[in-house]
Amino acid sequence: MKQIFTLAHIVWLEMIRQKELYVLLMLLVTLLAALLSFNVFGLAQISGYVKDMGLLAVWLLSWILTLNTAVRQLPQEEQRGTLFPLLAKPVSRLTLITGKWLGAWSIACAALACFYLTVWLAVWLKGGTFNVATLLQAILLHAAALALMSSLGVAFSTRLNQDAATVTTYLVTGAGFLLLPRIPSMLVEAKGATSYALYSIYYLFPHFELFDLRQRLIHDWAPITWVIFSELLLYATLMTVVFLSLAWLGYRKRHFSRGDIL
Amino acid sequence: MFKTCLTLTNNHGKNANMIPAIDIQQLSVSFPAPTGTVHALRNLTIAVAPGTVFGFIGPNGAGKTTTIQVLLGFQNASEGTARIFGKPVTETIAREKIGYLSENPDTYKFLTGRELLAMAGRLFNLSASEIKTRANQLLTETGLASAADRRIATYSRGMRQRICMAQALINDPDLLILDEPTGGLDPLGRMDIRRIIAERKKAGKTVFFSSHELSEVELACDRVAILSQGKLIAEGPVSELVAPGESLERYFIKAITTGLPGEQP
Amino acid sequence: MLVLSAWGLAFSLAAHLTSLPATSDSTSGIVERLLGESRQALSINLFNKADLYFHKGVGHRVTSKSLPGPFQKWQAVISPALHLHAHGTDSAEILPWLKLAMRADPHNVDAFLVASFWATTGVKLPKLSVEILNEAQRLNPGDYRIVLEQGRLAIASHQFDKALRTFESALRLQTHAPTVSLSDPDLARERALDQAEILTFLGFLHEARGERTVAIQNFRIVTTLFPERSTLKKRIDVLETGKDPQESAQSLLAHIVRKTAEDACHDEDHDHDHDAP
Repeated sequence: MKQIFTLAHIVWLEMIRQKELYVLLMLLVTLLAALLSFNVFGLAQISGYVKDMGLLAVWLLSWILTLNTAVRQLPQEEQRGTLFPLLAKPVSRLTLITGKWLGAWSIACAALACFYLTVWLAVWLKGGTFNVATLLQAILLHAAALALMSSLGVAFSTRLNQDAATVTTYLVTGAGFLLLPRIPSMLVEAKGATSYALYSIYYLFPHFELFDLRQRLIHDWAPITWVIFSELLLYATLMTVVFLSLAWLGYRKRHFSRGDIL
Repeated sequence: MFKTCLTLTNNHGKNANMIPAIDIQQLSVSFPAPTGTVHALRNLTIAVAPGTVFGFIGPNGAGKTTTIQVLLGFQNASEGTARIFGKPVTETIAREKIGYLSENPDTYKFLTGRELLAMAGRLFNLSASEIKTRANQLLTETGLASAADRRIATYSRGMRQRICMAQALINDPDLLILDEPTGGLDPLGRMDIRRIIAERKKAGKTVFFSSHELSEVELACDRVAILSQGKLIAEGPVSELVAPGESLERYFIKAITTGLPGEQP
Repeated sequence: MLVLSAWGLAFSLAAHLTSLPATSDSTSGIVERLLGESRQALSINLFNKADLYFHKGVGHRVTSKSLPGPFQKWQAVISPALHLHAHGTDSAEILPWLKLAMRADPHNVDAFLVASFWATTGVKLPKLSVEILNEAQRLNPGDYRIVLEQGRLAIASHQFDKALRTFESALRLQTHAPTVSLSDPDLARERALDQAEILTFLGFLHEARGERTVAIQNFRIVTTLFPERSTLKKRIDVLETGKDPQESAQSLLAHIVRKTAEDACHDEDHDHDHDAP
């Protein structure tokens, strides 16, 4: 565990010192400032649109941050040559993958907490509130989705180069959000090969849309039942383990040659 | 004239019935390439006794780096075995007593020198107090004490090489593997590396290094192995390989150009 | 040769396209110019967002296949399926989206009309409603729907003379409105309904002024358009006999314009359950 935490710590230090996180936070603050200054016919106490666009921005920014951080970890180590001193230490490939994933996910979670806090502050300034229990569920499920996303990114990065892994992970996660919820309605009319393809995508791709409680938060709905909440967390955990295992399978026998990168 | 000496000897010249620091048996590495299969190593057998400074020389593409990559687990062998202190190199535990320094000082530039050493120590599962003591000692030895809390990004190339060396020594390794350690270094930097090798030797540790700098090898090594086109063509103590009045460089050129008299079984 | 002809064709197309006049008008701001024609799609999207807010985040039901596995069950729990409507101050939350829809496409008249409706019924600011409609009219001077809404507002504020003039103006505009798109049966029916509404209002307004003949003329056109309107036919009969109807024209006018939030959820949108929250 000490090794895993050490590897995760390196990811943290890199992210904190490279200032990428602050840029995203500034973007969010700028967007929220623009929303706060938006004059809705001179009416006060309207906060729904701030919640809506703020939470959308939180999802987008956390998506970008998580994927970029997770996908680049292993290829970057290889490109800058730091992978070799690492592998020359008693660090197993599984430890390396787990440490990198943990680092990427935990920094994304820390950023997520900052993002939600910023949105909450903006909503509060507009005179709005969140249902606390729903907010708690939304943040935890969002964090679970980020765990899944980062494991997917790490898994792709073990077999693809950084650019290809980034694009593929964006496509898969994007489809997980946008396409998967529509598949049941598409299946009403789909036939033959299309139908089989849709079924495969529906059951094989991770369902990211299940972790999105934005509508409940925006429209002040009560939290979901804690049983369903637990089931969703379990689903995220299982999928994360599956993707990390795939990452390990793809990485454990991989050859690295310094000559390739020099 | 050419000799292949596979007897395990330490730096004091005694036969030793001990576990070799490095034990490579019939090692072959090949991989597919657009022009056909490339044989990077063919049936390489070497044993390095503990406490030896072992030089690994050969022209470009001879297979030196491939051998080191197999020893460190970066690459897998196509055939044969490699062990470090009796443990197969495919197992993580084999790297517990290793220190490694490459030609390029590749490291995390966003860390400070001290943080890098702490990180390396934790990866070797050292305790916090051990890390602190070793880091301070190494920073002093490498002349980086005053720059310890500066980001590595601000270091010169020579300083980076020294912090990488300090990192390689954080666990006081029984086997130090150096891949072209003096490449790109100024004379002062080379002197540092030479001093560190001498200190390791004095402490009874094993040093295995590849180099193009034959004068360095001649000065520092107890034994050398010469590799050409993936094959071992000579191996033994420098004093036995090189005739009186001859230099290792002259011997090396002759060995490379005249064939493979000491071919491995 | 093939390459040369393809290049020639591409060049002619490019030349033709670049010679087309720009479609932006004087009302376009930087954002509108940047978005180009896509602003219409954006505006529709923002308008739909307002609809989603009206239904408290519950989207329209889509026919879908029931699939084994937990995903649909989880989805059903996450996305609320009750049919609720925004009430009182909640309805103010709809307005930002409508304002954005108006900004994205100043010719999205529906956005102005709905915003005006919620300004009156939701946040109880009839003045704001008037301002919105004035702005809509400035940007879309020929659109009778805006004038029709202004007429409704005039009735709601008991300015009956103003309402009469406004409805007459709306009727003139509708008569002169382009008929090209009337090949769309839905649009044609909407036009007919609007025309009937204007004429009904005009009928009651004339009736309230004692101008029974004109009122009967207006009501007759409506019954010609929609013969199933038996209540209106009965009223014509009463007016023709010279008797006073049971309910006065003024109280009927007030009743007609008193729309509720429930009325705003059109029948064709009823694809979700009306359950208690």
